Amino acid sequence: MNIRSIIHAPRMPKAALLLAGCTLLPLAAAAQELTMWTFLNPAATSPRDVALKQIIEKFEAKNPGVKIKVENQVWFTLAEKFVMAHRSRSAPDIGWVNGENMGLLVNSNVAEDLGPLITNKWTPSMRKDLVLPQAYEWLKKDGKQHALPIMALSLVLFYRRDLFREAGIDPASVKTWDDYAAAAAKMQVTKNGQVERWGAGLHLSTDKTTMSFGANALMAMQNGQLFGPACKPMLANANGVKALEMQADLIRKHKVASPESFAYTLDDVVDQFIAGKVATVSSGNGRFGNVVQKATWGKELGILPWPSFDKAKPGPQLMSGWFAAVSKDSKQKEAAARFVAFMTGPEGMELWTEPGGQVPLFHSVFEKPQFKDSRYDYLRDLAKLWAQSEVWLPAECNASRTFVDLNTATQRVVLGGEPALKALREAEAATSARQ
Amino acid sequence: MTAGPRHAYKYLWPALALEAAFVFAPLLLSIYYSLHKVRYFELGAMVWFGNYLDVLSHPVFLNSLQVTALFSLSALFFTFLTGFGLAFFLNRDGPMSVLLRTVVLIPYVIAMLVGSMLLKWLFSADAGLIAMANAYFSLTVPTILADPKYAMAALVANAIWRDSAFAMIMLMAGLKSIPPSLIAAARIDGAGWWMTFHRIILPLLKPAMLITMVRLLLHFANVLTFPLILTGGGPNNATDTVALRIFRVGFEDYDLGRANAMAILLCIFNVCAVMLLLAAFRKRGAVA
Repeated sequence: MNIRSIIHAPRMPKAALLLAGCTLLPLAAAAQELTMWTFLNPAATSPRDVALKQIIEKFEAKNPGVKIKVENQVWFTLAEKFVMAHRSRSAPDIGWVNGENMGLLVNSNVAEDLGPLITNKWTPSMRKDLVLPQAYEWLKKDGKQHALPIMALSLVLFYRRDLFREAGIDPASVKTWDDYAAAAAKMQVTKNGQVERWGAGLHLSTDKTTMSFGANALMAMQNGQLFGPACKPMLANANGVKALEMQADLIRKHKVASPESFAYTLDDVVDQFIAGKVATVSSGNGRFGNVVQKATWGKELGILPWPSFDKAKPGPQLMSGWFAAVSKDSKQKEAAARFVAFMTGPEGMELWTEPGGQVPLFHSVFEKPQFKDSRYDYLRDLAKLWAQSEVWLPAECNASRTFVDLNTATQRVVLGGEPALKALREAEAATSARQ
Repeated sequence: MTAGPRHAYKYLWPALALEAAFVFAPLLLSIYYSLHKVRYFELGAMVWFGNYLDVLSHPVFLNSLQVTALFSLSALFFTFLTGFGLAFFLNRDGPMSVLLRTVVLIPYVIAMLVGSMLLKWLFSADAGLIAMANAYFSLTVPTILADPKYAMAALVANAIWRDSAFAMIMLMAGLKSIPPSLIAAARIDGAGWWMTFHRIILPLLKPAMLITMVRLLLHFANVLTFPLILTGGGPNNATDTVALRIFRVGFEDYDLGRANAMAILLCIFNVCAVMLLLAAFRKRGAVA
């Protein structure tokens, strides 16, 4: 029976049809569709994809008039596309932005202030419940809340428990960079003059995703700072020279890192780590599950606190992650903010933790009985590390290629024989030009 | 009634419209952006030639220009030479030649990105074929991709590996267009191999050679994938081409003003290089 036959049905009173239409029309108009750009795909099966699917389903069940339409994007151009879409008035209602590109989001001023829409309504007990209160402050500029954290990530030092055991090293004893170099040397394997396994996996190419040990060592000596007032970089100084020399010495003096590190990206070294060609590597903690899944020795994966020059204090955990922003151009800001609040709030966070495998950003979620199990120990340890030494680079400063500048400086020192301070001045000038 | 030149021009409009939409409009827009401060994809104040002066006074960009010139010319020379050799060697239409032509074409039909990634792992001294050869023959081969001296050679090798097939096809088309009767007549007149090649084949092949060289030179001067994937511009900026610098300044530093200034300078570099090639061929009578 089609619509025409209903309208022309002799027994159907037309007045009733008109009445039904009048009642249904406002309902149809009330149905809202929110578009969200994310790198995740709810139709896929990875833990985070499944978590997002469940979050959307739960939200839609609670908000029958709202539908979330996910438009899947490539992660490393997501932030740029979100900002550029505003210039052509085609931005989605909600966009995900990675921490490295927060400067782009904040400085381009394309995000709606989530303060009046979400965070200003929080109770003091909810604020107290935050695992990383600094993250929320980090996303503020001129009192405006540009985004909210969905999942936090940090750059960690992965190691293999089995290799440490074989070499007779207690991971807790690796506190300084000298300790680290000595441990890496013990785990290194050489056969017929060829290194079969390097002790330290460095990625020192000029690829944007690289992050050198030197940057961590430098931040540790400067109380987590790489930028001074007005985003002036703090690289070319005595601390910088010490950090750079330490990093260079892992290749030229201790010979625990491959000379080919200058050509390696993060992905290259993580692949070698999985293949057993490297004993330790720095990476985002988000890859933990991936390494466990892919490596034959996966269950032996551990996270080592960053070494430092100061025995008493570990190196900083440089924080990043994925953040949700509501577009300034959105015509459905209230509804978009409601979804962001749900996705980044305790209910959403529960799903990000299980099945998503992420550290929950609310203490109350961690305290739930289902998360007492030992398989969540890794997340608990990570949260402790963050609490001890979390560091956020200023969101308004463009640090997207500062680590690359430090890598270039290391290349100049090792390959070009340039003095460290001169190479760091060039790095500082390059970072400065981007502000 | 014969149609006048005005009527003939009408047929040009579709092509001109396409050219205007996809070449001239982006070019004009690029010039416009290059005269402005464009940060975070937002058009700012007019700075006139400020971006150009800034870029041209920067040692990193000047290094990129040098690297681009070195890479383009080296890659052009070796790729053309290899393509030329292959075209002559595989010119006959036997089954073996057809098979070998197909084999030679494989790198050209593989996506550039995949090809460069493949070579990256091939050249790796830690995990690639070189590493295996090192271990098997107990050799100490240098780290190709992490040594400024060898990284450029690796980049040129990538170009030769992929684009020789293109040169081969273009030159083979030129060879096939030479009437066999001319070569047969020369042989009957007693011309040897060298005389036939030098006096008949080479002069008739010059238009195909020019087109191949121009196409290859423009490709090498503007290619992004090879340096981006294979060497990342390193080590120590040894393979940091202008195309790669434009990409990084525009899409990683979000400075589209300076990136467009670089793009216009690269465009001028392209025009100059093509004009030089044309002049060289004109001197030898290949073009009118």
